[in-house]
Amino acid sequence: MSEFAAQLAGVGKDYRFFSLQDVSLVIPVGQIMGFIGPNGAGKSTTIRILMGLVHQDRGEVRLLGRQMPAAQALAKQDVGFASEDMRLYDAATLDWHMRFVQSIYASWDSAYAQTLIKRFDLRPEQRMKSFSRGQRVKATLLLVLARRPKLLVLDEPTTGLDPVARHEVIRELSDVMLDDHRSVLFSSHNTQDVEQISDQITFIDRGRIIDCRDKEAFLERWRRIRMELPADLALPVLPGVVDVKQSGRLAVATTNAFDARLPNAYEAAGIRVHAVENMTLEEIFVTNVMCSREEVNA
Amino acid sequence: MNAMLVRRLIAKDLYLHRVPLLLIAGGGGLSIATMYAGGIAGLLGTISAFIVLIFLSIVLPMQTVVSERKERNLPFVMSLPISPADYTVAKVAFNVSAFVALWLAIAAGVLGTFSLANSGGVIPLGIAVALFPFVSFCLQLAVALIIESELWSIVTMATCNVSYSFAWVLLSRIPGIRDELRGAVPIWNQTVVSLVSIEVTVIVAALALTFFFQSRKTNFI
Repeated sequence: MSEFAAQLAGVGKDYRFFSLQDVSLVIPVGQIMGFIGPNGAGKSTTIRILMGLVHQDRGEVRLLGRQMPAAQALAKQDVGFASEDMRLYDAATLDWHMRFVQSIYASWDSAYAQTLIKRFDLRPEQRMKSFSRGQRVKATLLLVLARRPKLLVLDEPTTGLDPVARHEVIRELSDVMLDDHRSVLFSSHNTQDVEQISDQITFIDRGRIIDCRDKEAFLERWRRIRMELPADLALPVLPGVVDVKQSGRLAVATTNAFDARLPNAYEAAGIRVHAVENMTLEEIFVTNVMCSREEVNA
Repeated sequence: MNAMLVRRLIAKDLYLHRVPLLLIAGGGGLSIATMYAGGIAGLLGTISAFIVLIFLSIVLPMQTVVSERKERNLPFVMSLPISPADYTVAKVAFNVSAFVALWLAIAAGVLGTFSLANSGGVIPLGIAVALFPFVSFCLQLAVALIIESELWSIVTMATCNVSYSFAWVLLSRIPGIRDELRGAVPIWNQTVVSLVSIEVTVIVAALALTFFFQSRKTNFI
């Protein structure tokens, strides 16, 4: 088997008002890839291309080692896909859905399905139309998880969930990853969810991948430096600084390549460094997107 | 093609749409039973059997294709290990099988009643008329699957429904059809055979075009 659960190389797709441009992405086996982008950034399009639901105009896609979209029926045998816009049949019960999915997947784990029913507090005899939004999401995840897929592809699964339901879903996904051979692609615009469970993170904006690396690398490399400048001194331009905000003599520099020498360099220039702060993933994401847009617009 | 999965998808549609199909079957049976009474009741039974066929031609594509897309069940179906071709085969197979089964039963019941009433001359026209909803059904199914638009499905449905009235009037004025209506035995003249041939051609073309356009599609959700 391939060492990558999924690979996209130079993938493009053109619509009238939107283009996915040169998307390259790999999800190693046993990793959780957080896929973050604003609304309309291209997350769902990328995921649909990965699943063979939309055919790429350019580039190559492999899912569990199989060429997509040509071999999608075989590849999807080992992939669990759930998306925010996916609905189960209102007129049928959860039990009917479970029997339907079980009849298709030999890997269906009935005992695990029963565990999930209890953990998610669902009633199998209930029709889907009487389920709340959170229950529908959990029911969909149950159908996906109980088939024990090698790769989980989740497109905004926690959107619209209350904090408790979100916590339950995230906890379940964390448990799934106790199996080293399973991989997850988890798309969201909620950076908190992604930060909790992801090993790797990819940012996408306006149809382009703008950054992709280990979560720890993101958190290590991005820092905010708060400084006070002497009255007659302009803030020097230092390598690795991607954003500067200045208000009077107070300045905040943001770097995506933090090195302990950077504050020293400011100090050496006569600038007083007040603090070097860690950034949350959300702050990193927003800064990254804004810097990327400025580069494109420049 | 994954035959096992196609069968599962067909069984799924049969389960999910069993109630409207049973109601239509019941409506068809009731219409035929009413026809046996003869006179005005017989006429009403004939008309209601035709209306049941029209319902059938609308309900199947709207429920199994348009509604599935509108209710966002399609991503769930397409997340299963199937190809778009499997999906198309399953949808066409279920729709055509369900339609043909009920259409055959209702049309045979109506035409059999005419035959028993010594009005066999109506049978060629009856078959041509009964094929109208079949043509309409295939066009609606093709539009629902190919164009994927609820609006265009409704436009197709409305156009087909309006065209029934015109077809009735036109048919009753064609001498080759009108002149044989009151006979005791069916007479298959060139006019009726041509009409039925055109209808069958449209049915086959609509289904063939459905597979053709579906195979060229690049977006399925």
